Amino acid sequence: MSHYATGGATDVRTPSAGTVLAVDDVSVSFNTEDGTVRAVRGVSYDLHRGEVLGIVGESGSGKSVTSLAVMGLLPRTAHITGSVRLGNDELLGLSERQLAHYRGQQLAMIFQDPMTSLNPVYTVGWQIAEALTAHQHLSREAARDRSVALLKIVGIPNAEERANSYPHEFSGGMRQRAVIAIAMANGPEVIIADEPTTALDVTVQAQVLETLKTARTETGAAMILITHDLGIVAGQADRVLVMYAGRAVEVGTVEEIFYTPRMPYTLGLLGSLPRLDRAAQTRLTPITGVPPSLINMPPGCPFAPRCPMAEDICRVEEPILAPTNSPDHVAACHFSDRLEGMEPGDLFKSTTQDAELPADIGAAVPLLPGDPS
Amino acid sequence: MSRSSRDIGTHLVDPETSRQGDGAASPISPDTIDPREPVGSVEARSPWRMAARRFRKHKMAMVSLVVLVMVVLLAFVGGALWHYKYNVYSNDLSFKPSLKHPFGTDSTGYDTFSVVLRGTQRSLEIATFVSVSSTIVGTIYGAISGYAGGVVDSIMMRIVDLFLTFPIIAVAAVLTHNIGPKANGWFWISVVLASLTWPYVGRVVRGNALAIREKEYIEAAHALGASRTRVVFRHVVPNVISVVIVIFTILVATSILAETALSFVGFGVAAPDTSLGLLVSNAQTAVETRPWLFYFPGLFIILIALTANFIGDGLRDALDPTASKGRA
Repeated sequence: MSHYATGGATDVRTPSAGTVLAVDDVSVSFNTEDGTVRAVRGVSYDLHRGEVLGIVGESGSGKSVTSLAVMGLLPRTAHITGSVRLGNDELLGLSERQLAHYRGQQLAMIFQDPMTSLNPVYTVGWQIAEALTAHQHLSREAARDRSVALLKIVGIPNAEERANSYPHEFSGGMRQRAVIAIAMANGPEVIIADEPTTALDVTVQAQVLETLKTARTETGAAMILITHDLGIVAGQADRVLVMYAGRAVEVGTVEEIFYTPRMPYTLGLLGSLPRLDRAAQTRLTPITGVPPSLINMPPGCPFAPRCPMAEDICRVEEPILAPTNSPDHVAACHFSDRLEGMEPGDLFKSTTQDAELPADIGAAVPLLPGDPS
Repeated sequence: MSRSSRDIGTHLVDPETSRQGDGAASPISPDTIDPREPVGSVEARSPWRMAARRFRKHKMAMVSLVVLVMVVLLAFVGGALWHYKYNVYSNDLSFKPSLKHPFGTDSTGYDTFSVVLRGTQRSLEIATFVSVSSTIVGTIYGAISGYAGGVVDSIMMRIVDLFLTFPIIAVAAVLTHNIGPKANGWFWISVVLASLTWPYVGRVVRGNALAIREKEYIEAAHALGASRTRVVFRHVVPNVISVVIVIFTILVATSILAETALSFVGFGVAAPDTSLGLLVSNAQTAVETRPWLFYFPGLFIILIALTANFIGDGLRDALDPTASKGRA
């Protein structure tokens, strides 16, 4: 197996007829005063009809930038290469005017913060009607009726009256449901939800996730669910794409990612989550260190400095996505075979002993790098 | 698209279907989401209605509004009802203010009250034209500049900077020196003044538009497929309108004063037309002998400028409650 072959993204994917969105080797870079920031470095994935693809990764891993590139919403200063195909249509390189035809109609987006993604000067009903009339010829009454019906679907009580409310009269959860109503207004084929529950109260998150599910069943849309909450991914997604330093480092079904991760980073992410199916006294095992700067990235695997099993090759050659046990479960690690059956605790150490035990303080990890202890 | 939107269409008219869709999937049914939600009528409290309520609590602004409305009514309705006409002289030469002539008369026998009302009319017309047109132009210009950003913004703002370096009265005096006495002189004076005041509006609106274009709802509008023109006019402009209204009222006061100054130095409205500025100018030699000729038009100028400023104050507090925490 050409495990160590270098180069851009290899095509391990098998594009099928059921693909609604094909993202192929998309790279995004920004020129800043400090140098070129390579925010996304060759990400490829296929989104199949009706499926939910979860994209996880920490802040700055490029998960939002990738989806903004798909929507064409990046600022003009962004340099984008690669290909994004919606059905048979190439989206990259289209003008604003041409993109407007797809946006809202075939591609819809749900933003993170419902507090700011609704225009404060218009009623909620008006804003849903705007989404409808932007792509369909509807009378004012018809658009209004549809808006009310959409509000009902997303579970807004008293939808007829609530359609006349302004966003500030809605709670956070209700606003996000209104945003979902706007996203599903034109029956899109793909809905991109960028951290749809991050800004919400935990108690409301479940309701909004249910509403997202409703939106999918009503429209039959495929969904890209961007989040850093692995719990949400486990509950909602069919497949998962793990991003690290602007790259996809592991792709697989939810079961494959959660039960047999084949990339140390994924394993580390899982180990840093509290889980009910583990003994209560087990300590969490965080990943130490920080992600690399996306300016002047060193050669080799970007995760190598934080990886307990890194060897010399990891610092020289960046691994590519390669198939593991199943062809659709791919991971970017030189030693992904070694991870088979490994638990997070086998690889990562818990940071410190219990701080309340005085005897253990000396054994704790130094607080500062230069600490003489 | 057509496929799925049709599908939704059929779902939409059938609430039972959709109810089953999410009700079965979760224990949270839409009806139990917020039990405290009043089932009765929910009246939408638009931002405008709330602002109106705050404005009504602003005493100075409310008094000013009443006074200004009275001045306007007096000028446009009162002048027509008053038994002396501004262009018909009487035999009462240089009368002091009395019941017969509340503001006295001048040396030719014209009733100062009717002349002042006539001048107020003209001055208000000029002020309205100047403030309305420069507000519209400045708002659109500023919204486009701020929304576009980058090079377009830079070029558009340099043009504004250029305009702002012009001393208004001096430039207006040069441009209007021979159009004052013409038939539509007041109109062209208004045009000149408006062409010199819109950059002030444009600059303020641009600053606000710069902030608004970074808001997520602007990005959301793009994500919906809204065109740039639509985003500027339907999303950016409505969100700067509260600022614009305040500038508008300040502009009314500014343009009244600008017109007055221009007429006073002899480059504004000219006889046979009249305006408050011209009246003050004509009366400057009579301040000692017939002070009423000078002070009554002056009083009207101050009334209009002052009330407009107070109303602007009240509107600012009402429309932007966060910016004025100090006020009760």
